Amino acid sequence: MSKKQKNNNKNSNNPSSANVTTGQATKKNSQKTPCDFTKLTKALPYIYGGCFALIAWLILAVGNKDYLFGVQNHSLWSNSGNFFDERMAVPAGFIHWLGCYLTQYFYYPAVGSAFLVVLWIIIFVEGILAFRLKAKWSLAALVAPVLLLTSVICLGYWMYYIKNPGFWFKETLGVLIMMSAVLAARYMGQVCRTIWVAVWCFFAYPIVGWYALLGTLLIAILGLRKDDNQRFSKWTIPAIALLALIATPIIWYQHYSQIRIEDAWIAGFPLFQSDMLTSIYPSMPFIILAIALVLTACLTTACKTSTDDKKADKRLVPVTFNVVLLIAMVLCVKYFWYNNYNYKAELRMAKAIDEQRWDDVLYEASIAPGPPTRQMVISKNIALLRQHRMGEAMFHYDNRGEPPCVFDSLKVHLVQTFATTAYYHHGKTYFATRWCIENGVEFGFNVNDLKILTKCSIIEGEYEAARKYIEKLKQTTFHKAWAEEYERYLNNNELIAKNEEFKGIQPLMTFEDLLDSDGGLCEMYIINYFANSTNKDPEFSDVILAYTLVDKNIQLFWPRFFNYAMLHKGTPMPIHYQEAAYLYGNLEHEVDISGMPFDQEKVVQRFGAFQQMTNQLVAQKYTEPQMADAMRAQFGDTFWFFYFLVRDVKSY
Amino acid sequence: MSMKHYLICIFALATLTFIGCSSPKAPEQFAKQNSQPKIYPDYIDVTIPSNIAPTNFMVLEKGEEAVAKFSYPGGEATYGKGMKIQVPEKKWKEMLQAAKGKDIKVEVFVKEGNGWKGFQAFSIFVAEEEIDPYISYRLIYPSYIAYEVLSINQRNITNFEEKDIYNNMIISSEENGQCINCHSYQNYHTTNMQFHMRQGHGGTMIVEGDKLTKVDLKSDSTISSGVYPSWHPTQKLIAYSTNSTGQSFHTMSKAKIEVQDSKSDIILYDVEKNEVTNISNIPDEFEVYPYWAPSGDMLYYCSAHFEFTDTTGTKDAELIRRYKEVKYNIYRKTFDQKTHQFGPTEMVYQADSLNASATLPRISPDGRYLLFAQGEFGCFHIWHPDADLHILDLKTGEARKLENVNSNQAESYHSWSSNGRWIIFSSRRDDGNYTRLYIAYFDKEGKAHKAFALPQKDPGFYTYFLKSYNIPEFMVEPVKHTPQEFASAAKKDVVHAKFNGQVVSNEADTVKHLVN
Repeated sequence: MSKKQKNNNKNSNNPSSANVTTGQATKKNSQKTPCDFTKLTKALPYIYGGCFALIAWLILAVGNKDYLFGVQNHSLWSNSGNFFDERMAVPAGFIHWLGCYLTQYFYYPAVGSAFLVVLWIIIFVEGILAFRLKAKWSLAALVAPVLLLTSVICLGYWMYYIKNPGFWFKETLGVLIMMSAVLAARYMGQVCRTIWVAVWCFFAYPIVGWYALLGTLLIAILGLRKDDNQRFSKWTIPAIALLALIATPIIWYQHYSQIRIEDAWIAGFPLFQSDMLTSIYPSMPFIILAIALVLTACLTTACKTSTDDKKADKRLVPVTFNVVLLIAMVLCVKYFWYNNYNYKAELRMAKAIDEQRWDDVLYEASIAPGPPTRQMVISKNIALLRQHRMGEAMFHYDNRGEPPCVFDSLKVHLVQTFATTAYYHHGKTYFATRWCIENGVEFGFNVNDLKILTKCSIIEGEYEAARKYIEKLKQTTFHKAWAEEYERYLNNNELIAKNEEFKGIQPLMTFEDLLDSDGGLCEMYIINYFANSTNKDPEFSDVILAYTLVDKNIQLFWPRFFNYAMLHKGTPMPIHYQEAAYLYGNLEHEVDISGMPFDQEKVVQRFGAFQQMTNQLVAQKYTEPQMADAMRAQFGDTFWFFYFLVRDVKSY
Repeated sequence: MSMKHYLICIFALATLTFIGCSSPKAPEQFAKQNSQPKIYPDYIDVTIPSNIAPTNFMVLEKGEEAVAKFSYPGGEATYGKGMKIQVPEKKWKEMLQAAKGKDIKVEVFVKEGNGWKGFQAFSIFVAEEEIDPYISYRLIYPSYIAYEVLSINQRNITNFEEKDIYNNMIISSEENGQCINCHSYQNYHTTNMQFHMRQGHGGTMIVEGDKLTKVDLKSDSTISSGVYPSWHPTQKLIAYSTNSTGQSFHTMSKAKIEVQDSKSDIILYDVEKNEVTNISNIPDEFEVYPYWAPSGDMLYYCSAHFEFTDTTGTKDAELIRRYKEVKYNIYRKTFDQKTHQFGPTEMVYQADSLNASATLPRISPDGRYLLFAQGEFGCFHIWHPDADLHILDLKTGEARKLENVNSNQAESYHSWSSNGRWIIFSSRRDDGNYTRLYIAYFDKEGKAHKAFALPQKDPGFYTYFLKSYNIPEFMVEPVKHTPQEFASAAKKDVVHAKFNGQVVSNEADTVKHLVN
């Protein structure tokens, strides 16, 4: 213990003013209270810390493992000096950089989660020590870790839109460094602290941004405590802090060319902006965090300044306080946790697509408890396309498709979440490349897009471009092996020809160049493009016919149906194509279907049953949604159900 | 810690420092190879200026370690770490000074397993003529539509120092994003310069010495505000094109993007009068890329003749359909520097007769050569893999593809150094997607020498850097204003230029053909 600390403890009238929380309860205190209760009280910080660590880790590693894996896949860290320089070009650049590095560890969600939890526990301990919280008040130090937890799990689709690299660790690192500075100030005398507050504010600003300013404020407030050895006025530190708070961002603004002067005081604050809208919702944990820390500093300073500390204890009533705080923290986590089934299913399906586990993609599509999102429907179609089973099974799954569930103003567009994968698997590699670049430009390049860029470049024969993306991936920690694997494909046509994934995509690339644009609507483009295409490749013609069904266009259907039949002579006509031919033949009688060998049981008889049930429900004056609900179980796996009862599906 | 420990630490530190600082030695025994080494960037047998930054490179041969021995008049030095050859700047300057007008011989050795391989030596010829110490360029992702961080940077090419001239993030916000482009200087000096800001706080930033003014050059009578600029070499006049530009995307072409103008004209902006006048706005002509001759008495520009025929659809749709029919020729007009009147239009290079399209005319400082980019069609050759740099000798009328500088990828956005001995240009030759800056020596006989990549401290830099360099311009001095000063000026109200309806050229004059 330093000399200074000893002095503090000696000078203090309150036996529990310092270090109590670390288990060193004073004799005076223990004499007054029953032994068991004292022990329990002393153990409270350990109990709080232990329980929080376990629960937080479970929430992350178990409840959010798909999301966290997706997070690292949509982030990027590079060991290059250029990557470091780019991060350091803005205030808080260092925690951006370190945050990016640590975010990689979500590749193993349990490991990344463990890192986060350890950092939070350090923040918890620092909070107790920095604010000199007694054991019974130590729950207050959990507020920051809990809010950081909520900030990590509340994002949902913001994962795709966040312009804050390394966010998932960055904020924790910011709070950690800030609390370390506040804690360090506690052990300094007034002179040192006066110097420290200015030095910290100025030099920490490039490293932690706004956290440097918040930390300065906290040091200033805590500097007002009564028990300090005061060589000069207690207002000296706050005055210098105020000066530092005003001057630091102005001075550093002259150094940075990528920050607006009006943002200089919130540099590095996690803002969530997209489509020209700012969402306050995911920033809320940090606003509350800042307020909570300032309040804690004020209250602990006020209590210490109060002549009778015990009165303060009585006034606040620790048990009630702890219970209320605990409930508030639980509710906060519950409220902020984005625990949407479809969102996680999308991520699981995306991972399965990357790993070519097509059955797993279809399994996810089959177990969705409610209407899927359009991304899930496209994922399902990709899996069937790769298995050459679109005509056989595409309507066996729910094809309705809902827009993603969001809590705020965020507008989710497929071009920013999934278009790169969708285009790539549909052979539209140039469009996949385009959206990888567009999104990379706007939101920062990420592992997922670099992998798609690599594969697109290889399949297009642009090996030098592929080499660049491979080089970038080789600079990461966990995707180096993937990059080295794909490096083997460069200039190696033989190996490319053997690759299962490329083999499935190459036939879909047999089209002529033209100038085109998707207008930002990926799914509509894919449907329209294939439905309006003609191609003599058997695989291409299969996809064309499948999307002609999705397009519900009878005129386009017939020529593509006959083209498909001609190119697939000797193989059975997939059931959905039969369903469509039988329906369209009966609807418009433009094509004579009497000679076509329809499956009697699955098509002819079943269509009869479909018609019968439809007539019955119409007679009973069922509305269309009611009919859809009534018929889904029996006919939800047919093209007819899709044609008549799946309507107004809006892509996004 | 005992004294013994201290001594051990000091010894270890000294050893590490020695190892870190000492140059490696070239192996005495090695297996001779019959070929020159593969290196990146390619500096084999190039001609470099005597004041350029070290041409650091990576050795791409199979091996674990590489060293390069540099032999120059009066000395030799060996460098290498891993497979990278990086020469300290101070030592490099010594080498260049010693080798001025002569060769630096480079021998590369690669260690593979327990043995060394020695490759055939190559030369780096050091020209007598220096290069302008500064260049500026825009760094941009090879983006399609989206943009976020954009910067116009200046690089001291005698070393590796790079700075932002302006970065749009100093003023951009989500609601008010800003695009920046087209920087231009008067006669290689930065006292009078300009660049554009689009969207948020939009306008053209005009710098006249210490004075920064944001002007709006758009009027009801012009297509747009100023786009492609060219400062008059001596007067405070800037010629601009005004363009209506669109973008489309190829579904299956390495060109990837097609940037097209559906209309364009040329205007003159008088900085002192704050006045805009038309130079050329002929219907069915797309005039673009004005460029002053160094004497200031001639304005070169490009123009494509295109007639819209489809009366049912939009012009943009027709242009997308017929995009390969748009071919630009190079023209010029005389300019009276006293009256500010332009003379008749004169054909300089008729590219369409060659089934080609010529863009970006740039006249050498001595006025003799016209350097331009030529591709099959269109105005935005930086996305056309077939685009190459061509040169027209204005004295003899002979035009040719510039030897030694072109590749099978796009070359465009070229500039002359102030002494006319160096050209810098953007090229996608490295990977087809990302433009890199290449410099080539242009000798007194009008012959270009092998182009080399702008040197970087980390020779691997280009292999992972995901931004493109565009519009490289030489400067003899750095830009004097800071990004913060530009930001401050950008926040002020825009000054609207006056439009003078008078056309300052006589369009009725017959077009004379200089070269067919």
